[in-house]
Amino acid sequence: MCGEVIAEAWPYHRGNTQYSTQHFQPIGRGGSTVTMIVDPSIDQMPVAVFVVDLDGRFTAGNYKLCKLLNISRDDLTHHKITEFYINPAEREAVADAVADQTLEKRVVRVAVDGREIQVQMFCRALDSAHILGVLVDVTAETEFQHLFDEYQPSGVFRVDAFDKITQASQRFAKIHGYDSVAEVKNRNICEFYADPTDADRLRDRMLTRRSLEREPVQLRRKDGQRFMAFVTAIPFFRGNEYDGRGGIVEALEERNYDQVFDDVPVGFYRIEIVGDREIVVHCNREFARIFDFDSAIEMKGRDIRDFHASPAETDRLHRMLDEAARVGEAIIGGHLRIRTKLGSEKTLELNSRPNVRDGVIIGRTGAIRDISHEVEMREHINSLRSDLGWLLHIFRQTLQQLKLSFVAGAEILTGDLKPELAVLSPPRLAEEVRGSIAALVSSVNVLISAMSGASHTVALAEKDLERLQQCVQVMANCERNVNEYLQRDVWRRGAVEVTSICRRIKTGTVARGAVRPVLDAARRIGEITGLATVAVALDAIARVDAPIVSIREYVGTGSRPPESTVVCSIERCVTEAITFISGFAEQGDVAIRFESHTKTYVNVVRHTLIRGLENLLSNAVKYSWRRPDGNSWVKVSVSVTERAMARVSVESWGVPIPSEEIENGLVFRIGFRGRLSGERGRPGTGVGLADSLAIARAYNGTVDIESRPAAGNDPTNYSQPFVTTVHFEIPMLDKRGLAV
Amino acid sequence: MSIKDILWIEDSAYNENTQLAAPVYLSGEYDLTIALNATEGMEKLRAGTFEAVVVDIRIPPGENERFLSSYYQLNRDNKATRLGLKLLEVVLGRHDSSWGEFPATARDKSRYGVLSVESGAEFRAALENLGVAVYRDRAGGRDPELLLNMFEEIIARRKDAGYAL
Repeated sequence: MCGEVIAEAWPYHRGNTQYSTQHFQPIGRGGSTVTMIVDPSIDQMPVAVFVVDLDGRFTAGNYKLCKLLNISRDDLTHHKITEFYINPAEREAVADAVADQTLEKRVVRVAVDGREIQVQMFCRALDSAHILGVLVDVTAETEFQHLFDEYQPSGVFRVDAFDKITQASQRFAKIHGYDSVAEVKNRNICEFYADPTDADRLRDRMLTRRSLEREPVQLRRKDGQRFMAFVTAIPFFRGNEYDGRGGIVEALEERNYDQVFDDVPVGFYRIEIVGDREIVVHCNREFARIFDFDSAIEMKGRDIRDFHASPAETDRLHRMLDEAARVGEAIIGGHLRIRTKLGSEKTLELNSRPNVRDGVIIGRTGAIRDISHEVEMREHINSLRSDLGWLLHIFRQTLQQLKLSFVAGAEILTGDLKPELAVLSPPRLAEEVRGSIAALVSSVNVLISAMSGASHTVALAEKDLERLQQCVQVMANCERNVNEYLQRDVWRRGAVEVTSICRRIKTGTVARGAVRPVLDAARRIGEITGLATVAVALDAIARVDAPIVSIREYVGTGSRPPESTVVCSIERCVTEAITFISGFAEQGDVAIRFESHTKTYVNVVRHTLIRGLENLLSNAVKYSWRRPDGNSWVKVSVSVTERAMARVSVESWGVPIPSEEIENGLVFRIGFRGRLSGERGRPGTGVGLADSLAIARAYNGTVDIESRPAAGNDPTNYSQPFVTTVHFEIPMLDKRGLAV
Repeated sequence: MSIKDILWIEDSAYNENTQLAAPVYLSGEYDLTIALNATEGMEKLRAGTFEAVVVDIRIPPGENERFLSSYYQLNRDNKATRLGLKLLEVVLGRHDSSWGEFPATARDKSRYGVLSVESGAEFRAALENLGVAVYRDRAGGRDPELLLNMFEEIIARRKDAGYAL
């Protein structure tokens, strides 16, 4: 080989081998064409190397080039590189680029014998008339990249230390609404966040944890639309310096839609009517699962009527659909009985919109939920409610019978058809019984004297005598030694025991005149304490009666046919509620003060409203103490609020309601009994207030409670009396009976 | 005959169960102290010496945080909280940090009995674990002397076991 050696050196690196333009030698000059031969070492290079003139005609090329373009070495100079470009514009772009600077890694599509090949091109001007270039076949890599970009749902990105995007996949660009990678390159990553400061936060978090895994974040598309995505990223370091990060972005919506559709625990479906069949054309996995199929595919194409529990059920469904279509609505919350593939009977909640065309139902779309368990539970609860209602009815009857029996017992005890049956306070009882106790003590002393001497052991066993003395001593010291609430039982039981012992005195051993006063005193003590016990029992029955009625009404709600509302005066209802509760109030010696000269009309089911008011009155009576003047009373008033609500206020003076029980709404919770509500053994069920609130709410009303110290300023001192006021409010009507 | 100090921990002592106390008083053998809740019961046990103690299981907490926390955790339900059992565990349980706060007489399990409507194998096992041998089901009968009999039984057992009374 001879000729001029091109002096300009252009190092070209591939692996560890270095080449230069010295390897290309001119073999002749003529016109604008320079024909060159190729150094054998260039010929052996694993990439295609070529030299073209400014028209693109090959002036030199190695073996790999000829093989790549499928041309012979001899024909090489008869071909132009431009022949191979699929897109001629690319040739222009390459030429322009080479004119200015070295071209690197430009991917160009070329056609060889009708086959598209993607080549990565490296070019630079060799001299003023020639261009030196290298082609690397990257068809396989590009196709893979294309596939990766097309089907990989995540976008891949890399940013530098300043958050500038240096690399991104096509999918990344697409996710953010850009057409090409070039459009997103060099942008700051912040631009892709709905809140740009999120980018900083995520970067800081990633640096702290050394990685981010599927961090949910709101991103922004080119058009400004926001979307949710998971971002996964890892940081890169150059030495100890942060050098950017790389990661992936997974857009949530479309990717997850199918999964959500399948995972949601509600069955979705679309049914089309084809002839006389009702075909499931679309459904999710839950829909199939409800019918005991493993997948939606198995369910699709089936006639849904095959799964209805009976033809009658199908007819009922059709009637519901017809009605919904007629009024242009959907079936919401309907029930449908089905029989699944495996033969299980289920009850579904049906939500379905008929698809109507030209007045004919052609299908339906909807959602179902398996509520078999709920229905079963509801039936069970209804059955329990029914049983409970019956039991409470019987229980109340039994209590009424008990009440009469107690009164009968009191009549027998006193020999009086109208025995006085008042609950006595411990001091009052002690006062009543004191004289009889004294009489008992003295008469027992006389009796023991009468029995003294040789004969008393014959009259009464030593043990009985000791017991008699013991009893009388305890009874006599009872006021001093025994808690006042236990004294009644000690006296009553002592009196019975004394009587029993006296009856064991052998006839004829002691003068009757010595025994009779003991028996009389014991009988009198028994009578007083017995009546007091009966009165306490009657009081307990009366206290429990109102809650029982209330809970019986409560459990019965819903099992009776609904009653229609009437316009009535709320004052009249208050009066009736007071009348119903008056027996209980009298028993507890609590007066109910209510004066009203107005009429406030409301539209209610009367007995329901009265029950709601009765609950409040019953509570007020039950938790009332004697006021400083020695009397107990509950004050009731009716007013109209600024919001045109009729308000019944029930004020009592006595047991406090702790503020936390009011603030947390505990007092309205079914079965809840306040911390202080058991005070002095008051019975209750924890239903009354909850029932009253439910009644008020049924009329779009409410119940509010205030409880504050009657005197003194410490609202946490619950040993003092509190004034408790319950406000029951429901909407009022005007004089014409119309809503205000 | 000396009067014996006995303790009854029962929230309804002054209401539904007044008839149970009368025979105890009339026997003339006992000085009956009553505690109405777990806190009160604990304080009485800490301060006094009782020959016999009868505990109800479904009792309210009183003001002590030790019982209040359980009570609030279980939605203020006396039945579910079983604070009588909790009290016995506090006083008699070996691993409780409160072991040192009660006198030896209070920690003597032979002095205890349980009178309650609570029953069930798991509950009985818990009592057995604590070493409480005397138990009566209150739902079982109407005997007004039930409480008196329990106190007598506890004391008789202690006597039989050789305790100096």
